[in-house]
Amino acid sequence: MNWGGLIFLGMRYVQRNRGKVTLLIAAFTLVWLLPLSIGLLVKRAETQLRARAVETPLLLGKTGSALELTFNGLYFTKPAIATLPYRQVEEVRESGLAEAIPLYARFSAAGYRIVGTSLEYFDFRGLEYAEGRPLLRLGECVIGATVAKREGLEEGDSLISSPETLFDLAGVYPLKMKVVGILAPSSTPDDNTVFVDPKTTWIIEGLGHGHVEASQSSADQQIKTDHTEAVKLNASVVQYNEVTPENAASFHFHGEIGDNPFTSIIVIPNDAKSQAIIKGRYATSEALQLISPEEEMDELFATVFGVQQLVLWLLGVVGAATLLIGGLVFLLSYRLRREEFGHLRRIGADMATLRALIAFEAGFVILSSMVVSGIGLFLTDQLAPVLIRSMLG
Amino acid sequence: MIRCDKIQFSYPGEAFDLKVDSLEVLNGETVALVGPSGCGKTTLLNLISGNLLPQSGRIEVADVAVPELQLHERQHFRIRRIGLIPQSFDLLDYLTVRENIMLPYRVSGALKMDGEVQERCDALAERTGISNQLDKLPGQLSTGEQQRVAVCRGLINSPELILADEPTGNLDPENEDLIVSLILEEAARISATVMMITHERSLCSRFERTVDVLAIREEAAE
Repeated sequence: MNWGGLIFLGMRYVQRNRGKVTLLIAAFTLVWLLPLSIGLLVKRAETQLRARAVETPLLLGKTGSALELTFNGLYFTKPAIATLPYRQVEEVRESGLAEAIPLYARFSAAGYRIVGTSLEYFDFRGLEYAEGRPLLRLGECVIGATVAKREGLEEGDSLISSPETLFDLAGVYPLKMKVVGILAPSSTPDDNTVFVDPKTTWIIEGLGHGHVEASQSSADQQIKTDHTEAVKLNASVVQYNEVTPENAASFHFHGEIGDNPFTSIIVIPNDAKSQAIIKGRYATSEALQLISPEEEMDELFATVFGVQQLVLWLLGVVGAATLLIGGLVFLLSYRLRREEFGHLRRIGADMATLRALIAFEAGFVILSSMVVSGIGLFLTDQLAPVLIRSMLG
Repeated sequence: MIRCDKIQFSYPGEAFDLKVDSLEVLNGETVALVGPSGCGKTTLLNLISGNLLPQSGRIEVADVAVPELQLHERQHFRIRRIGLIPQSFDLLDYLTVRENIMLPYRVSGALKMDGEVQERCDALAERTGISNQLDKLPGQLSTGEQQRVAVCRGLINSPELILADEPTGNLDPENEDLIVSLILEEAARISATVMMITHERSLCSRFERTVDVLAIREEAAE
């Protein structure tokens, strides 16, 4: 056996037939990579999604899709779900059966979700600060590790919320928020989140605002009225787009705070009995739903696994067909090269070298496709969190 | 160099039957093998090289009973001591001219590639007039040049015996004469024995002896 010669001749053949060999490697790579990466992604998604769901006992939200409520409450996606009023948080707390952590996950800044929540959320999720401090004042934000890293933000920097729509001239203005804390990485959706006080989200929504004192406004900013002593301001009054120590006192909310919205409430029952009672209370509610995220995830993955099996079965059929076609290509290649091998045998080539040379092309293609698949699988594993997040919408 | 004694060979299921009572070729002798198509010239060369095994009789090459060797021993014997020059060149289209010439050193553990082989390759290419084509692929050469490459490959291992199976069959008269001259000159340089099949009676005068395969078959049949 001449190993050096075998590799030399094999590689020369591959080199001079690189178009054909590349196509074969690509086809074989897909045969290995597709089912493996689908399996990996589903496994990673299940682990990632289920872990967070298991940690969250109950979620309260407006009646509608339980799955969308789960996604909004746990992963801060599906921002368009129906909202429930703040007074529901008070009702849960006043029941004495459970702790309630409100979540308002609707707006975004630089592509990251802004989540309005209370300080209890950080303890509940076991989030730690890499630098800075917790939220104290209106207009402040605490950002996840990924947000800080990707946007190059540090404590003391600012982040501007994205307007809901550029054409909504009378609506939401961007709010410049001050970064007061950066969370340590947690490998959860919290890494990609901008946390603010619930009131800050309401300011972003336009339910609260700050502007010059009416008594200090100029005459052309006032609406004249003969009926009352109160001064009304017209639309020419500029609202503050940043909360500063100087203007913080001017921020105020119109209407009842209890009516202000949240997208979901994390409900943490005191014990199993409290959980049973509170679930019973909301079981008959037509306007609200109290769900167990773990049960929702179980249902979701039962469906996903069913679809996965079907997809894998189909990929198996396509893969088998691809392998057969690949085998046919190798067979045809061998037939085309039969004279070449015959001549090598006649001049005295070792039978072992000759057999290895015949198998070289197939071996090279299969081995290369496995290496490429391995690299692809590694990349899939590295990108899994991003892919899963993008799949969640 | 070559001694064939009462050999008999037939292909399974075919009527063809080659019988040779006695054939002897001396060391360094040059022999032209002639005869009509299908008379067994190529079969005789294959029997001598050990690519075919006779049903009976004895064949010795350089005092070695080639058919009696094990398969791997026969292959090692052939690649070390015999140079084969085929009619159809049998060049590998994915190797350069230089790589084709040195091919025997890539396909067997019996030969070791070293600097001397490279030098021999360059010298052979120089003498056969293809030194400026060494980095080209066979497809970029003319038919005459391709046959010269095949000649160089047959001689790269400095064989004791050169078996050429009608190497001029695809060439024009000018190249035909050139190739025969090359083979005989190189054989003389390394004192190799030559057996070459040819259909051109005019070429036979260039050889020391002419053997008519049909005649030796008839002789054996009597």
